[in-house]
Parts: sequence; C-alpha cells; structure tokens
Amino acid sequence: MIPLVLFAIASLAVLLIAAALALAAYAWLRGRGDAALAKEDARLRAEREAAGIVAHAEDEARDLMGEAQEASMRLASARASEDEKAARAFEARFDALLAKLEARLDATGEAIAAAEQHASAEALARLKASGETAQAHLEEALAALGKDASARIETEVAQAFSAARDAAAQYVAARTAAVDAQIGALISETVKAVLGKDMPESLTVELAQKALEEAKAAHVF
Amino acid sequence: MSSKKEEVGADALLASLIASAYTLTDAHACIRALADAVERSRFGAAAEDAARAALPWGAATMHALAGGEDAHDTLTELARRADALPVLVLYVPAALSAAGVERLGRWCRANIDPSLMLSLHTDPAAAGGCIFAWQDHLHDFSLSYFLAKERDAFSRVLAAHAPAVV
Repeated sequence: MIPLVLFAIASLAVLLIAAALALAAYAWLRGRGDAALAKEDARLRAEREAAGIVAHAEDEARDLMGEAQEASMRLASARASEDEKAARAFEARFDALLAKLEARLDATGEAIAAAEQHASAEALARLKASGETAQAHLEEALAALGKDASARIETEVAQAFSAARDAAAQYVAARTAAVDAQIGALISETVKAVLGKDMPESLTVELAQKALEEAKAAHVF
Repeated sequence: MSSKKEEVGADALLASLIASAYTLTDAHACIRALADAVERSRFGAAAEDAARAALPWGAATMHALAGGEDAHDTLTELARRADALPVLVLYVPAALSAAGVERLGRWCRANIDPSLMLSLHTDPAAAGGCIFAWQDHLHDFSLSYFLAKERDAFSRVLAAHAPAVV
C-alpha cells in the first residue's frame, strides 16, 4: 500500500507543482511579451495573485512531500517493531494525508481559475496573440520544469524507500540472528544437561570417536 | 649384544609399552611397576609378587632387567621415549572404562599415529563429542561444533518461519 500511496502523493504533487509553474511561466511570458501591458492594473493584479498562488502551491507541495516521506519512514519503523497498532495509526494518517492533498489540490485549482478570471480580457487577448512561438516556448519550459521536478521527487521517493528497505532488512537479519542464538543456546544447554547425566559410556565413546572422525575428515590430523 | 639384552632393551620395552598402554598415565604406571618389580626381585623375598606386578612385560623381562647392571638406565630411557611419543590430549565429558579407552586408543593409532598416546581428561564442555589438543592447537568437536556446523540450515529454517515485516 505504501508504494501506491506515495506514488499517488508524488503524482499529485508533480501536477500541483507543474500547474503552479505553468501559471508562473504564463505570467512571466505575458509580462515579457508586451511592456505596454505591464502598465495595466488588471494584469499586474493578476500576476501578483498568480505569483502568490504559485508560491503557496509550492510550499504546500513541499510540505506534503515532507509529511509523506516522514510518514513513510515512521510506518516502516512501526512495522519493523511489529507495533501493529501504531502501523494502523500511520496508515490512517496516510489516508488522511491523501485526502488532505486532494482537497488542497482542488482548492489550488479553484484559486488558479479565480486568478484567471481576474485577468483583464485585454491582457488575455494580447497573450493569445503572441502566437505559436510563445506557445512553443511555454510548452518547452513546462516540459523542462516538469522533468526536473519529477526527477527530484522520484529521487526523494526512491531514497525514502531504499532507507525503509534497508531498515527492514537489517531488522530481519538481527531478528533471525537473535532467535538463532537463543534457540541454539537453549538446545545446547539442554542436550549437555541430558547427556551429562544419563548418557551411557558406550555412547560417550561413540560420540567422541565420531568427533575424531569428523576432525580427521576436516584434515586436523 | 646378546638376544636377552635385545629383549630388554629400551626399544623392545617401548614396543611392548605401546602395545599395552593407550594413555600416558597407564604407560608411566607400567614403567613404575616394572622398576618396582625389578628392584624388589633383587632382594628375592617377593619375587613372584614382583613378577606379577611387572606387566605387561612379565617375569622374564623383569628377571632379565634385574640381572643386568643397566636396568636403571634402561628404565630411564624407556620413560624418556614414552614422553617423546606423540600425544593427543583428549577431553571427554565423562570418565571412561578401560574398554572405552582401548577403543579410542585403537582408533587413534589406526588413524592418526601408530605410536600415539592419549592424555585423557574429563570436561562436561566436551559433551556430544570431544575436545582435543593436537600439535599445540585446541580443537573443539563437541556439541557446540556440530550445532555451529548446522547453523546455516538452522538459520534458513528460522528465517523461513520468521514473520515478514515488509
């Protein structure tokens, strides 16, 4: 479940960041395209609102990714300690986090739509008139930004999972060794106690001879 | 050198000693018994008793030694050669009867060295096998060794039944 949740969170975060960056690029191109438009209050207002939304969306996405990674590590740690109760609590927290992320994404989308509505009709018209070249630059910039963000998030998620897997593997190895040592010591002490009290001499000699045969096979002599 | 002298020489005595004693303790007990029998036979009073005590060599050897002038030197050389024999210091979990000692001694001489002597000791830690010192190295082939030998298989079984955590 953890990989799916993290993947969903990562995907939503990527979309959020991409949308925010797209709006930033949109505003930046719009501002660069025509100096005359910069004088228009409606466009400046829209740019400020867009910039604020982008910054807020980036902060939200960053916080959510941090929370997701922290929750992932805590969940792995909780499972490693076999605290099922704590694990269920963390899973519930994950579900809540996912719902929270979806809600924030919806809210951000609404905010972006509202910002677009605030932009002046004239500014939008001029931006559209900038032609296919501007559109191509925009798409190219978005693609590059999306790739960078996606790669960064994938790296962070992979690192988090790698750490969780390492911790789990170390736990399994330590647990196996501990159980092995405990049971081995118990068997050894039990057999020694039994053999020391009740073993007939013929068996003592037999075992000693077999041990010597084992030593010879191991080229001790 | 006469044939009688050869029979009671250190080499012949050592061969007899190796054939009859499997432990250093028994070997030195035999040498002391022979020395005592030779000494007693010289005074005549208890010759028959001394002859019975002179095992494993018997009365003939005892009398041959007693009749010679170098009995003491021969017995001293015998003890020196006995100490020079290869020794396996063997720890077993409980004391063994003569039959048990003989069985282990025969195996050791057939598989390690024909003139080997055992130095036997008891140690509960040797349960399930034995612990021995050979050529200045201690080797533990007790239960601990056999458990450790199966440790990998043991761990695989444990790992197969350990609950998955990921």
